[in-house]
Amino acid sequence: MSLSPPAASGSLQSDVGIEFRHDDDRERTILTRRKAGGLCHIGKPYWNDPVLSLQLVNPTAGLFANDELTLSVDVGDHAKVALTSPSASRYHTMPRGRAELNQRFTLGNGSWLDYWPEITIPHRDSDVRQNTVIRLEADSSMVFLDTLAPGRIAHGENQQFRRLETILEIHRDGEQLVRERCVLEPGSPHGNWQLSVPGWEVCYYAAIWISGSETDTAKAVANAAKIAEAEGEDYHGGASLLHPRLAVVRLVANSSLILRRLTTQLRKQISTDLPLLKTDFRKI
Amino acid sequence: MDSSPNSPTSRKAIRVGIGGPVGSGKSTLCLKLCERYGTTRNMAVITNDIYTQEDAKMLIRHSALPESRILGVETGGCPHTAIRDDISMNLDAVEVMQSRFDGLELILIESGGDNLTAVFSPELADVFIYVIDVTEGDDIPRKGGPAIATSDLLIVNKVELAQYVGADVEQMKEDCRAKRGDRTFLMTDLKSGIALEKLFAWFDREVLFTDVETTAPI
Amino acid sequence: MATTHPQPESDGIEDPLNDFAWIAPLLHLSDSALPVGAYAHSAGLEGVVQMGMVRDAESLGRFLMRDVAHSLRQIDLPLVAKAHAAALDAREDELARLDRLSWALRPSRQIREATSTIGRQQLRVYGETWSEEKLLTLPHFQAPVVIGMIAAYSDIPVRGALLSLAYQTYSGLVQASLKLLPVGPQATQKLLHEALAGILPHLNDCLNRSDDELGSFNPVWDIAASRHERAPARMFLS
Repeated sequence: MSLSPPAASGSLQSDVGIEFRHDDDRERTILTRRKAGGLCHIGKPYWNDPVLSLQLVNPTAGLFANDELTLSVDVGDHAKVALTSPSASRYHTMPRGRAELNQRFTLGNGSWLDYWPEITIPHRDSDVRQNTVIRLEADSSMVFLDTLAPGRIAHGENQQFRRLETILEIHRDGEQLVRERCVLEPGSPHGNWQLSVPGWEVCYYAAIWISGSETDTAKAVANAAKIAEAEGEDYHGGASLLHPRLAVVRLVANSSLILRRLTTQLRKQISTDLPLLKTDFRKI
Repeated sequence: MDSSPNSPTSRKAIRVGIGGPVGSGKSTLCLKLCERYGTTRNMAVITNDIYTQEDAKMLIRHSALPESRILGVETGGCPHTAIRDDISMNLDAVEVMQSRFDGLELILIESGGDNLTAVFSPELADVFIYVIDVTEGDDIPRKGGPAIATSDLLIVNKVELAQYVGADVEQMKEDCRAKRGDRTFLMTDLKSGIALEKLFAWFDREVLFTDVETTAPI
Repeated sequence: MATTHPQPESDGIEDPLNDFAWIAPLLHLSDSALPVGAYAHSAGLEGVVQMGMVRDAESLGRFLMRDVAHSLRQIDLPLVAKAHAAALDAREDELARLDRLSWALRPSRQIREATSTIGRQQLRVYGETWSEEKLLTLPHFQAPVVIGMIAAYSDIPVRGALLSLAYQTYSGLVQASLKLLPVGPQATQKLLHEALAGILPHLNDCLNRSDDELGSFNPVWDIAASRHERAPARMFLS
């Protein structure tokens, strides 16, 4: 673990690295490197053969002003990993300053990543830049969930954050397949219209990125579309096959419960086409 | 499909444009031609549906050709544009089919339903067949227009229904002769099979040049 | 790269206003009658109409001035500017990189394909009518990169290239809206005028965007464009 000395404000800079390898002798995925602490701890691994599941735990339950978390997850050739978090990731109130989260996921040949964290909640006055880069190699596969709440709705905070910038890049075999950049600044002329639906008071967002073999990806997106694109007044969804080996299912919903119900339903559906998506995170 | 815009096209398939008003029998004509030539000719069909892919689905449902040989193209509500003014969408579909099937000989391009002014661009179709039917009014041939007058073949379809709609078939024939001169027209009922053999004979001679093929020196 | 647009005859007077030869290719490139299949695409508008997000002239105006303008400013116009500069310097690797990036920035399959289809046809028309040389082959032929290239090869200033793409985008959308919505040509021409006027103040910003700033996020539009892939009835390819 490399943990920089806390700045005067008490902010933390953490550089966390986790590596998984497939142990040919034991025919299992093992955690071979664990450089954690500070803003990210690692829970006890849980076997669900052939997938190794574990939790990424943030002891401060989120990021404060000037916190910087760099998370590198390296899933080696043929390793199979499921990652989740025990609770929502919060971007705490920070009247000044900005927090940064940089995430790097690297998937080796024949590897599998099931990344299914809890929802991200930007609190009042928070300002965060989140940068995620996923690199897939050869026959690797993944299901990657990204969910966003508009704030602490129960506290009357609907898009009260100062600024939220998220960047997502997905590469496969060196080719960039996706770049998405979201900038929400509710108090500025840029506004927050992107995260709004006419007639709704609040808007939650989720994206499920699916990458498997060409056949599995096509089947998964077609089946997921049946759920996501069903008519509903409380949600809208759409699924797109962006590349023969990459699909995305996007959802907007007017409550966190509906969003969770849909993502859970979709997870179950996608697992019929990508059977490695079978980890029950409630058991961890 | 991403191919170079400068890439030379390989040996070209004969492209037959099939136009005509909605409901006149274009899809039935495609079906009959597929049933006749689908097993002996390396062929494909491109349908230009206005709003749905019903025409493509109809051909697939009837197993006119293997599904991969039938391609539906949406035309942005502009069926005339897609076959005449801006044919790029259809040329793209032609390229897709030519790259999909080596040695493709014949492509039928069915329009999305036209009025009497619509014709196929000569850059899209080598042969233009226009289909009307007696139920739309027996004065249609008399009205003329470029498709009625200049198409390579005019088909006046559904002649069996003429008695039910009061259409004067003989008058329609006269009008066709007057408007088309020496150009061929056929009074057909594609569903019941009236004049189908004449149609195939014309297609063999004028589109496939089978008489030339069989007599050509090797 | 040579182009074959004739130069106007000189009247012997040194006047920068006489240097208008680039306007001919700009008009040609921007003409909605250019046979590039634009009429068959709605760039996701049919999807948002089917979802009920755009219903009339007012919501169409909001869509054009807010959603489309955002996408133009964050993706398309900066890419045109970058491609224009790369083409002027004959940096073919950079053009290919920008083309891949443009493809990666598109949020749905149909939008990716539509942008490539139109770009490929634009380059084809250019290659068959204006250019004397073999044209560069791109991985995806994304329209902003192709327009940037054609503009540079035709001596069209970069801002002209940006406006050409903005015009093509807005013009295609208002044409599609006539078929999709209860709006008339007078109302849509007014919207087209407002949309173009609205984009003008942002042209300079678009000239200098870093790669890091590129990208957009518009879940409702993205969802609508995705749903369009499976729509049982649709007029447009995208």
